[in-house]
Amino acid sequence: MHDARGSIPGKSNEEVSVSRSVAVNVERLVMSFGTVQAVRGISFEVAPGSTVTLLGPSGCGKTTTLRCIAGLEMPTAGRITVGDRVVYDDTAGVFIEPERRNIGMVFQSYAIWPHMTVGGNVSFPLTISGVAKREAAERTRAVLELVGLGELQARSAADLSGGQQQRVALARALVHEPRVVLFDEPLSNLDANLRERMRTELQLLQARLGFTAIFVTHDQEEALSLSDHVVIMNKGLIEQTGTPQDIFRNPETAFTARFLGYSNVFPGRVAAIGDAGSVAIDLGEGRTLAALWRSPAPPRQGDGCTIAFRADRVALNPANEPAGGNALPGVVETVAFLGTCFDYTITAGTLQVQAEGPVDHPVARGQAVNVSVPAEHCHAFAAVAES
Amino acid sequence: MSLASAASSPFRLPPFYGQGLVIVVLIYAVLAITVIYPLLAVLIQSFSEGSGLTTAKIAEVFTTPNIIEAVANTLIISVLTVVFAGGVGVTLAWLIARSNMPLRRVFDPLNMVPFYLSSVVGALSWQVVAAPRSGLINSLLEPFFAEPPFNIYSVGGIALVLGLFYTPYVYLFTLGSLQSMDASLEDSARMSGASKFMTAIRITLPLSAPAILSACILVFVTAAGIFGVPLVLGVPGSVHTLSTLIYAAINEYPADFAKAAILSSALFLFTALFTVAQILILRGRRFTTVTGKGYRPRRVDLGRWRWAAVGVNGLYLLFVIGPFIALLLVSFQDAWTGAFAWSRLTLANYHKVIFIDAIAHRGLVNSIFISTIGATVAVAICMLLALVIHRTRLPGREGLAPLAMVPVTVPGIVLGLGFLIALIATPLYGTLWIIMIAYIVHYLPTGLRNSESLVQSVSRELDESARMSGASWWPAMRRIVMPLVAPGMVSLWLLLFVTYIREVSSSMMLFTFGTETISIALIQIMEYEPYGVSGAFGVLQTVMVLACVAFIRQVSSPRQGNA
Repeated sequence: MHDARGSIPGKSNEEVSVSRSVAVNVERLVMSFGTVQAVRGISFEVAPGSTVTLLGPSGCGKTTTLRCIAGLEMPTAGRITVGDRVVYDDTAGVFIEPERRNIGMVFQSYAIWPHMTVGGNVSFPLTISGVAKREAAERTRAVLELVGLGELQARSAADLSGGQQQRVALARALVHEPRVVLFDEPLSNLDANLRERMRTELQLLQARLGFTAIFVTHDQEEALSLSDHVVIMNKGLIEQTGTPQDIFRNPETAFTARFLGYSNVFPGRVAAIGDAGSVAIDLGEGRTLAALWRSPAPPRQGDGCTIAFRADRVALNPANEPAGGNALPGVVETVAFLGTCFDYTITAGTLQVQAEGPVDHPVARGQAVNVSVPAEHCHAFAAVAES
Repeated sequence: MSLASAASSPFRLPPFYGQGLVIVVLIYAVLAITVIYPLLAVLIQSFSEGSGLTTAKIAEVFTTPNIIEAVANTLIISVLTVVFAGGVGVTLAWLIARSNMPLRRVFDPLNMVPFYLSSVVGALSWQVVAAPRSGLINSLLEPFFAEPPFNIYSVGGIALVLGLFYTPYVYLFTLGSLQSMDASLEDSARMSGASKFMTAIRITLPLSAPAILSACILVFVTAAGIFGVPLVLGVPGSVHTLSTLIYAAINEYPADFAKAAILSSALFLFTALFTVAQILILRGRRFTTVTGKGYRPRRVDLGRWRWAAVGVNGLYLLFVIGPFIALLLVSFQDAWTGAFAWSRLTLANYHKVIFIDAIAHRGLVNSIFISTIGATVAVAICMLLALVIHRTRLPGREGLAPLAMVPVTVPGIVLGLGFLIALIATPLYGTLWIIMIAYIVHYLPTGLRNSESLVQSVSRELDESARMSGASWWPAMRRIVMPLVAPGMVSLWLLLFVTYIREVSSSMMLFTFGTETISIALIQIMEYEPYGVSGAFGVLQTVMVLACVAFIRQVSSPRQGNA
């Protein structure tokens, strides 16, 4: 399975990457179930050969969006283009059935057909589209090699391990060489070790075959490590899109920050407005932190806002040492040893601050400290009414 | 990749549904004709006497004394049946699921046996045991009593046989509920200080109450509409129920269709009322509280009472199986003198019903014909319905299941009358087909419910992945869903086959000379032949049914990959 390139007959990298500028285009997509709007008019583009992840908590509409692209759900409104073909358009009255969209899909449960062999599962897309027996057998063999299951072709699909099922599902999704492959939480059913390995293998496969991948996941780590682009969804709307680094460093909303593991999120008020987006946030009880304003709408003096910073950006200094600016005085409440670091909870007035500290400089419980956060790692957002 | 399929032209909005819509309309039309029209025919008939609409006949019918008595009998029989089946069913289910009663594994399948057997054969076997003069027990006890102590030809006798045969319904529902219950619910009652019997009464039973209530209403409704047993056990003792009076009205000369229709409408309204009540009561309360965890509910140690429990369950089985054994013995005797005699051993009765008696022969052949083709057609229809309901987005599919469930509320005799009135002037009347259609419609709810749960047991993602692999709807169903539910479809086929084989009520309304079914033949043979002959025929039917049941258990046991 070393030289995977060209081992699937009739396929080369260039063919895919040169073709078009947009592989999937979702415009104003709306999906209602009865009175509930699961997806509320979202739009995004996916570049050919790239990997995009729809990330969000359960019920945010990410899976619904994926299923609309697949054609497994009939959207309520909007337009979906795959390659140069409109597959759904409510105003033009277009709906292409899923089997005619030429999209591969890996389901959360893998959906391996237990009454067939591994080979039967993988060759199904070829037999159904009338590919000659010989060619089908050849391509099935090739793609099974590619996912490392070459020797299991004749095995009954009913007795496969989770990891093997995942590979069979992947092989089946790739065998008819779709330009776009959809993944619905593909790694969530695997244990932690296997998950990491499959993640790497997926990336290698995609690099070799050059298909466009759209993932759905609720696991931020998976999203950040797998994708070129992340679409963060919340309550049927897109919160933010961008590269993983971009999103991780510059969350635009308090939701994004919280979802990406910013463990310190506090309400406050805009106390002062400086240059280049710098603001001072009043956290009450006379505590103030300098921060960078992240919301698209400009800050206004006295407005409610939310401030967020990560536990690993916090430095703890003993209270008797100089604080080094932008600090909150507090007392260490809990200490937990996590192996690579210490995890602290610091009580600063009414606030509970999470902090991480190096293993070689432990801070004792009950100690008075100054919690300092560099202003560039303190993100401030306009407050939104959360329901 | 094949560009041909990729470049296929998109189509316009309304044809989203296209042929699908035609299919849905077609299904609605067929259901309306087969399910609703016969019912309407009965209702309309009740208001028509001669020409024009009238309610005079209705008033007349319901002031007739013997009809008032029949209504009372029907009610009493239904109540007694529910009390018997409910009490015994719940007790047995609890003993099997929650106690350490010995022989549980043996009793469990045996307790279900009456579910499959014909209650008419059951009635016949009870005649052998407890008919006033000739009954086995009565003749044994004759020396000690002035009068024969037991009379099966009575309201109590009818209720006893019905209770025995409907106990499995309550048993099955309750057992399912008890076995799926979360053990921690009971454990926490024990931790709160309740004794084990207190826990059973205060926690376990109330949690199963919806299942029990549901089963009881089903039994009540079924007992009210049942026809075969009251015919066999009631008519000889002049105990009439609504169903036997409906039959009598049709058999009078000239047939009184209006009277039959009025009584049928009354019976239907009664059963429909209770079924609707059941749906309303149970809406939104399904307790039981299944747990995904592997906890097995704990069994209660009965201590010394363990063997008493064996006695209780054994007694139930004795009441069911004992008379059958008596019937079996009788069927091998050339004459019945109240005791088995080796000198009278003979196969002549079997020879007669299989080879000589024309009606018996016809009944056998007709029933096998109807049941084989009928079960095949029914399985196909029910699978199609289940697939349309659960595997398409066709508009109007939600209404199909409720419509197809309507026959649940219709007693067989009423349905039979409906088909009779609706089709008597058509060439279908007097054929086996009309009986077959009536069977299919009558047991459509059974078939559909089973098919639905089969289809739902297949994860949607399995056929969705076939769609994503390029298969359109029907190939995805045919190559993925159908193979996966195939064993279940075989079981369903056998279940329907068995059900059709022992059907009595609608056959009784629809048969003509030449189209007698096996149950009709049995009832006719009972009228003019001695116990030995009818016993042989009853045994024959029972063996057929039991063979199918054994096969069902074979098919539906283990197997199935990952579901």
